[in-house]
Amino acid sequence: MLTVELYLSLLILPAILGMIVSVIPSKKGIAGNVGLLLCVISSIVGTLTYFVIGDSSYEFIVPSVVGSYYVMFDQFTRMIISISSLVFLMSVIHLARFGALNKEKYVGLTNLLFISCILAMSADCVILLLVAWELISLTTFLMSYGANETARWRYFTITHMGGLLLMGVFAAMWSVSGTYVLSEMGEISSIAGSMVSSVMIFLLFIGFGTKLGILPFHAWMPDLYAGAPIHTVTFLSTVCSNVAIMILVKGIFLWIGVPNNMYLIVLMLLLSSTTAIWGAMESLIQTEPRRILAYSSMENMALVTMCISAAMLFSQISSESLMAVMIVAAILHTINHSLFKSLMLMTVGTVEDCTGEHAIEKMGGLAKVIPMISVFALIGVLAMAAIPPLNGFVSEWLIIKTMISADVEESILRLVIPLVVAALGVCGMMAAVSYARLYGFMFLGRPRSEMVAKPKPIDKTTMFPLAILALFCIGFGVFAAPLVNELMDALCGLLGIIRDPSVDILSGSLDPLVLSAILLTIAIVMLLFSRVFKKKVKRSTTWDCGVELEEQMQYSSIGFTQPLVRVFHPFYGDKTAYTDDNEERGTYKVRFAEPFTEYFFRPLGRSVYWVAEKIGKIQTGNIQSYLGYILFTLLFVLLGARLIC
Amino acid sequence: MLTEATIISLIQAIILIAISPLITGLIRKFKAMMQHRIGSSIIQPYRDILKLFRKDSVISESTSWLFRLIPYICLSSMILIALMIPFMFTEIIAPYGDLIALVYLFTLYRFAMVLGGLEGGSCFGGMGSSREMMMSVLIEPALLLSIMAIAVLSGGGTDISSIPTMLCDMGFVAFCPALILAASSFIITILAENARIPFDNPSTHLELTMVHEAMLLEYSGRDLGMMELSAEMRLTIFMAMLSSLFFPWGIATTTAPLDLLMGFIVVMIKMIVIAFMIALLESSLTKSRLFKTPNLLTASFVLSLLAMVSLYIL
Repeated sequence: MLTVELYLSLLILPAILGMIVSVIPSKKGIAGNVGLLLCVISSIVGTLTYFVIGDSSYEFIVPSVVGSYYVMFDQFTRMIISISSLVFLMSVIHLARFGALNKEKYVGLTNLLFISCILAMSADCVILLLVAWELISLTTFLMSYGANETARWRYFTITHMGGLLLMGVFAAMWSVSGTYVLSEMGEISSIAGSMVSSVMIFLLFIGFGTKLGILPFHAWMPDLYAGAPIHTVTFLSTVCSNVAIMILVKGIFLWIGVPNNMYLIVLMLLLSSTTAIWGAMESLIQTEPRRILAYSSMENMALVTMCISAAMLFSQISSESLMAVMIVAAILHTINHSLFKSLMLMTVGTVEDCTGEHAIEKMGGLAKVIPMISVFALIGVLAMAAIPPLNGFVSEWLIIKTMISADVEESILRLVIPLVVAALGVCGMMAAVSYARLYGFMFLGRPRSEMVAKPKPIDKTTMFPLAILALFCIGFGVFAAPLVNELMDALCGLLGIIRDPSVDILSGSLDPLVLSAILLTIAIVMLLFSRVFKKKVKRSTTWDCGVELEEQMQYSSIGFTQPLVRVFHPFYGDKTAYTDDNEERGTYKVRFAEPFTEYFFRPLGRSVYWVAEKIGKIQTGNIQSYLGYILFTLLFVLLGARLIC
Repeated sequence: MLTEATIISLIQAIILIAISPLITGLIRKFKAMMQHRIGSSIIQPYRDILKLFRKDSVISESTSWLFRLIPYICLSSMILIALMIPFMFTEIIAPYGDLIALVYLFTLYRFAMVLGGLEGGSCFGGMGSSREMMMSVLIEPALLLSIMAIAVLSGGGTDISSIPTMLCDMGFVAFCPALILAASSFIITILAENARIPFDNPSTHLELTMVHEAMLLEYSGRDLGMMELSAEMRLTIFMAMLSSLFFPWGIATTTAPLDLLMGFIVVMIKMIVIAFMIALLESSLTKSRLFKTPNLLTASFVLSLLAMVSLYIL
């Protein structure tokens, strides 16, 4: 056990140093490497957080208007910090041998991002939290160079709108409770009343939802994911989402308290489940692995917010302990998501780096040329598709199990449960299809382009973090029981709930360890059996009906999901255009427009321009009319003030 | 540790695995009889599988390391499920997973098979995988919901072995709308999951019209035998689930020999009835167009959703 001072200095000082070092101009990128090393040290300390310090808090004495800044490390926070730092550590190691533009500066920003994530997670006062959150937004914005400018600015705008909402909510919390220290706030809903706290929670949800991709604020995600450096995307999709979910959970259940307002809960459930299904559906038609993963992030995070809303529901119509189990399911899914998503994103990054291809349509057959990477990718894909016994399965299992074993009061709201289970089933299966497509068309079949057939060799340093993350994906699935137990303890300690053993859901009906052991035993016995009674295996060409197969003569990834697109046709907004200019060849084009951008944001933008133009007219006058405006404004204000007072 | 119940539950799992080719043979025989053919012997599937197991295999050059593992993954997941469900006796040998795990194990099977279809890099495999995936998006949720409806109905949670007992104890109360709706959804699911008419017709001569068989096109010899066996097991497991989870009456609840004998006879009668039903359905329907199947699948989904909703409303 370290003291909190020592821990904090070990955690933050290397990162600050790394930030400073990496802006020093140097030869051969030495500064960048030193910065990376310092970042590695910081994130190793971060990873060990759960084990090296106990529940503790610290006061940064800052001469400011309001007073000192506080950070607090309770058990719950420490767990999330550990997992997030682990993901961070792996990404940074992966970054080490990765050729990137402006690498030194990138490393400096990575250090800054690490500090701001840690501070945002552990912040115990409003100002520190908001500053850290804002720093996360800014650094990720700066780190996303390379993405097309529209996507980048779209991210900037949306995320700052979210930041603005959060600022409003936290300011309101501050003024209602009279203190800016979050742990001293108590239950705001009991002071502020149901209506005000409902609005607060909704704004909090939307505020963080802009980062998580809640509809319609996902508009920045696919384009940014497609273009930004892969590590930025990894941080955004995993560590930043962890931060957002953690503060959201603390905000709703600890600081504000769940108000008795069913409209709010139903609205949140509706938004989350629509987002989840939308993400799963859109991921079916994407043509780049990164875009598929962008929509998958959106879907997974929507599942988590769905769980959080369900937990709010359970706190009203069922018991507090059931609420705690539901929150644990949400947190578990967040943790697992950060593990498998970082694994997948970095795998995709590695593949793109060694083949130079970005489109899934150009890949194929990679499992033969880079078998190790394909093993990691398969583990990641299986975990994402919730296949037992990997970690994605355990969290999805916990969600469904908690949903249906809910002992709820008689009310019409019980109807929510079957609908949520249905939504879970539909989006889970759609997502599985899209991951089968992702793996199948990247790694299986025959190569569809030359670069993919002969990729560049891959450095061992790049493999190492992938291997570790893959191991964690398996480990967190197989040994889920102790993990859930710890999480449950931490959460109950945080929310002050007495743990009720009768609702401890993981005990009993599922034992992933034994289940996977049996599965493995059966498979190994059969493999041994066929080793002993060996039969000859001949290699031959794929059955080709007598025509030699060319690289394009195989199923395409677009064609793979085309039947589904036909079934769910009205939701996709696909536009087909067929031209038949000359008699030899006609062209057939299908364009999928993202309906939210096409029918929501673009008209919105156009209407803003329209309004601006109308307003613009009054700005082009002579001096007399300006004086007239001032006169009228003064008159109105004075009259208004007179009438109100 | 090694109690009577454990031994009996092991025996029932072995029986379930052993009779699966027989059930397939039985359905084929029923179908032949309805078409006024003599048909092949009902033990023909055993002969087929034995023959395939003795053969060398040819695999495609473009396949990767995963391809050779897929038959093992598929078959072992089916064996695991066979250990997890009750057949003639309520206890099970492997109570380490529950109904939700069961559904996701089916997903494992399907996922592996779909990846196997993409392995060869041929158009047929890809087409089969694509169609299978289209159907699964609608089938899997229906399967999940209908099984969850049974879990909620029995009140025993998602624990598999407690469901038959609980349903038996409920008596006639169990015959509520939820059970009927869930069972009818499940019957559609059986047809769709197991590549049966009207969803798929494995016995046509055109690969273009196939779904399940198109994915198996690149397999041969022992690998093909394992894939065939696991497909037969999947059908038997689904039928066993219908007879022991949805309509468990008659299942043995104690280890008394007479009880067990009774349970075995009753469950076998149920299996034969279901096999006859499937044969009847298959003989009286035609394979529908691929893009017509979503209608029926959506119906199945809606039925299961209604089953679930009715439990929470009524």
